[in-house]
Amino acid sequence: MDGETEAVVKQFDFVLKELTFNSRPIITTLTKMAEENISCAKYFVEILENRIDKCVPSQKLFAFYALDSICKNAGSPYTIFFSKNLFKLYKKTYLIVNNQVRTKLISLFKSWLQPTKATGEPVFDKTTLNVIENFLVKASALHQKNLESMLPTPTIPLLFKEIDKLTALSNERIKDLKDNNNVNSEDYNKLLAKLEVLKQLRLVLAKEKLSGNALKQVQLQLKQVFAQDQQYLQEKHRIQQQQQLHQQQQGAEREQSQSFISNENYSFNTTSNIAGASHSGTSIIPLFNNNKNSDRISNLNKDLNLQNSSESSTTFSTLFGPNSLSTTASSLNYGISSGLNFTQPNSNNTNNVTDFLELGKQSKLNKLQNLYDSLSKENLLYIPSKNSIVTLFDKLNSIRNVDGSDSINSDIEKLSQKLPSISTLLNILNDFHALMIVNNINLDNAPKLQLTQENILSNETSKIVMDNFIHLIYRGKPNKCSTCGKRYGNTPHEKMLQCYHLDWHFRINRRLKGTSYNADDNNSTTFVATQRNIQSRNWYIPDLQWVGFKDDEIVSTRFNNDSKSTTDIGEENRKRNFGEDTVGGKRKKRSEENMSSPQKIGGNINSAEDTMDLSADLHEHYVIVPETMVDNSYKCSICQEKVTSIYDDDIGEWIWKNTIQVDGKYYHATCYKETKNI
Amino acid sequence: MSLPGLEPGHTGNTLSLDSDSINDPINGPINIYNGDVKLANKDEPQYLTLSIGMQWSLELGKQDLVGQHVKIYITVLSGICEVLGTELANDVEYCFQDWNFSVLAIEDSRIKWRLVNLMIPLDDPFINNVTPNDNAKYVYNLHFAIEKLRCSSFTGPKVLILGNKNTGKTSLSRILSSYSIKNKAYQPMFINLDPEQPIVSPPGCIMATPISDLIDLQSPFWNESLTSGATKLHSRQPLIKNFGFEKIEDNFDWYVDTVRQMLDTVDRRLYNDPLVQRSGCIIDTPSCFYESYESFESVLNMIISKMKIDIIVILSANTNNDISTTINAEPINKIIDKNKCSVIKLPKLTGVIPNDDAYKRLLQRLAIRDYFYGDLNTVITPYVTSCDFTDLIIWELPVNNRSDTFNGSANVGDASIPSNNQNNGNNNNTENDMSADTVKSLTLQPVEVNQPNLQHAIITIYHCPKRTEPKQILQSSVMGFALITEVNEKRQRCKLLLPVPGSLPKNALVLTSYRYLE
Ligand SMILES: [Zn+2]
Ligand SMILES: [Zn+2]
Repeated sequence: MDGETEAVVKQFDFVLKELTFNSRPIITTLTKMAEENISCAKYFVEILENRIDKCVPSQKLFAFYALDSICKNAGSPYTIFFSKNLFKLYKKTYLIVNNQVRTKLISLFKSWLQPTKATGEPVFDKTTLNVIENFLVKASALHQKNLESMLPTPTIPLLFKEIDKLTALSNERIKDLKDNNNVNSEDYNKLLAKLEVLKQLRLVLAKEKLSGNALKQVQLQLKQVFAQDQQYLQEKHRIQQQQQLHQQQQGAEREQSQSFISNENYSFNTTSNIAGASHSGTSIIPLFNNNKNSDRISNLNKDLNLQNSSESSTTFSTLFGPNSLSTTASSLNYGISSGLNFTQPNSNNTNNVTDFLELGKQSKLNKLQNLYDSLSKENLLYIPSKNSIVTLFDKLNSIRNVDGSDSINSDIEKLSQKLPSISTLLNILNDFHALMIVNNINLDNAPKLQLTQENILSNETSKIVMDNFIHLIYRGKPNKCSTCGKRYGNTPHEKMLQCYHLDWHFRINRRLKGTSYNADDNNSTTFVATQRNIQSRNWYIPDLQWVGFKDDEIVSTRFNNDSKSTTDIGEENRKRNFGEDTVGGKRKKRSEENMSSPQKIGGNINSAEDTMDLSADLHEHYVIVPETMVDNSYKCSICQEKVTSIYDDDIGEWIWKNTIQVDGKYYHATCYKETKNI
Repeated sequence: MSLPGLEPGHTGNTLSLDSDSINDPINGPINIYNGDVKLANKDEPQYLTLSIGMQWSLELGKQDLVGQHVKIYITVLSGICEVLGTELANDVEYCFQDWNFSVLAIEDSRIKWRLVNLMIPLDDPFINNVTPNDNAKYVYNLHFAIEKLRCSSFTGPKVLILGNKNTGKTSLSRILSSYSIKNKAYQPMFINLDPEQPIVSPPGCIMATPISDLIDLQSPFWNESLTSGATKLHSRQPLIKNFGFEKIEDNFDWYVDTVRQMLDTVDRRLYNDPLVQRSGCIIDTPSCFYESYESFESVLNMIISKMKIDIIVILSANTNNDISTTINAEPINKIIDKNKCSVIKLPKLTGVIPNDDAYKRLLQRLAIRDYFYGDLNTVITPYVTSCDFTDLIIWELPVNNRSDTFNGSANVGDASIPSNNQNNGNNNNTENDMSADTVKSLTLQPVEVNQPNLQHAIITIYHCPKRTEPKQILQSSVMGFALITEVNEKRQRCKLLLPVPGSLPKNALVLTSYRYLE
């Protein structure tokens, strides 16, 4: 890897590590980086796969989203690279995440099956997708079994409750039909018949003693019927939304969409109140039309949603289609074109819950797409432009909670609370302003900055400086360290420096917090520091050494594990020579012992290769604990023993005895020697 | 208020420290103030809006109504603010104590602040001193003119700052240093020639260090040195030269020699370090350089020629109006080559809080404490050791206050300095070149080890063995400082504090005039 690649890769890694929540801006950044640095694809893929594999389960999904976005936008070679381990990662992830995340993974997979705009082919190759699909089929069969065993053992009172709920639900539908003057419709008659059946069933259950098995059958059947009714209500909301969408005026778009959400939310709550009260948070929300396979599918969906709906009282659920419509036009746009909604996880994620087996139902999606297209053709859709405040809001407001409030006003209030603060907006504007100016000024072309008494005191100079040049030392470098206020610019180099800088803050703060260290028993010192600045303090270096000192040795924040590079070695030798002067017969300390790079070690031995064999007594090897170490101990990878540092009076440093450093790792000198000899 | 050993008017060498108020003002004795003044206390965060260009001056070098040291916490909520050229991070709470400084708003800013456990009337001027900073614009002009020079040559601009007392010389040095590292990664050499004001060192020293990263905006001493171990911000690796006296006139010859040694070493560093060379130098001077200009003519000449000074900035005690007219009357014009060196005169900085002797001594005490115990952010532990009287060989230089030094008749150091120039820093002073008085000033004398001489004394440890020839000791590098905390004449033993664990190095030791009572 050359330096530039390394910087870009490091930056990618850095940004990726920030992806601890569902953040569209971060994913967009990663995608852009991937698009712009195709040459780094191999490394990006490696890092991202590693991230998916290693990060905590709750964050794996977001890493998958990043993968998804990169593959859909940047295409090959990413798609090819990712295909290799995709199934393995997908499977591994699926098996350790909770059901809520599983449903999202399924949605994600589903989106992969759709042809992309660019190629007309699915994102990944067919073999990969087939393997995943087969896996999901098996997994859902397992779910089915689990679900049945999870349903409460049917008892007569329990079934009564179910029947009562269904009756209430059907009554609601009948009322709906009456309100709409549809009393003569087929549905109306069916519902009346259904009510009758329910009544009969209740009587049967009350009178007769049925076997457990039979009760189970009844239970499952009831669930199925229930699903139908629920389905109906959701369809109803969907239609309402579509109607409202038609009525939308451009200006009122945001408020409208909010009201959809609250409206839908509210309705859903009503539904649960009627239908699911006794289920106490485990109400079942079917998502699909009840046809042929519906039994199994809806059960799976129930399963998938159990946790979801019980976890959050704010979730609501609609069909796959309307969920996109239910949010804003802008996210509708995202939703349909990318199959993914990063922007508003809380309002969208549950909506996205669909079953992968339902993919055959592309028609539904197509219908929506058609609707969308025709609305857009009639200019009935407001699509915010890229630089609009709406887009900005979406970006900034990446996490939005929709609660059950039925008040549109309170939603608007909340919305405005979540708008970026004036100071945030001012920051953006000022940074932008400064950047524009900084790009167009040059100290060389500023005759007024010629150093003369007249110029320094002239108002004209002041005006030029205060309007222009001053930005060079403030917002011209827009990235201000949140810890110390140091500013960094936007170039890749500056961004890399900032990464190192942040790492350095982290290390030094961890270190300054203080840890308690136990000095070795057989060590002479009793100096055990707790909650103190324990690392070495130094004398001033001799003038001669100061003459050759470079401040980069202090301010370099780079944590470099690559101790092999020739420059480092040259540097090392140079410093070693400086360090050899002695005073009063004692070894003198050397400047580099205070430096941040771990490879800069003092003592008799600086690297395993060059002096290992020259020393008679291996136990005399030691390494000065680098300042960059967060923990003052290490584990010898050969014997697995933990080595803690001790304080050496003679050299005035915390050291690890019997230790050598090889390729940035530490070992017992004795262990290393033994292993090497074998 | 009465702190032990710090009664008003106390002018001796002893620097004492009240442990309650200095070490732990928060947990010190709770004093109850019963006046009817509305007091700021820790439960009430206060808010302040600073408009662009306004400056909030804080005088924390004094005590509150009941003698506590004022401690203030400041958080910038929005906008951009800086302290002496260093930007505050937003939404980070900074703690300030024991120094006089100001917060300048670069943009309209909102600030939250609170005082802890202190009795301060809310209308006290010290927290309400907000004034427009009229002269900041000149500092920016100067900075960018200097920055322009940095862009155009491999030998950066060498700036010497002169001026009367309380005109803001050190503030200007600090601001210029801070600004110079902001746009590009320059590392200008900052040199402090005023031994009375400790910067990155204990008092009594002159110091040079490249400014290679942020100056600690909470610290009156700019930064910790690497002798403090790991610190929150990058520390400095300074070149320290020990003068050891309180006033320059206490041993003028030694001061001149110290400056010469330092500049020789700095010159070699610049030769070795292209980045620092390119970034230039910023040199802060004691006000006597300007005020007693005639006495210091030869010193100034030495600095200007050794450092190849190309810009002299004079901070005028006067206001803006008459600057342009007085510039030509500056006596400094007599001694400089106008072709090589531009002289810029600026009005004194806005909002300079006059330093009195009490404040100066407070900072000196704190700098000593800082050296052994760390600062507000980083507590460090000195090492306690002891030794026999017989182990101690301590030297001192005589106080040689030559009455002629400051009345203009002295021709200081002339005998030795020109010959040194020709020899490019080789120290070839010979006693023949110097007057008898100068010889006396530069001759180390043994100090008798006893309590009156050594109790609470700061001693300088040199990078040379104990038995080094006295003449050579003074040419050696400073290794560090020890504080003698106890002299037990009965047992013939001393207790000492060292910054670094271990026994007292068997090195040459020289007594300073500074005393520190814990
Ligand atoms: Zn920082
Ligand atoms: Zn081992």
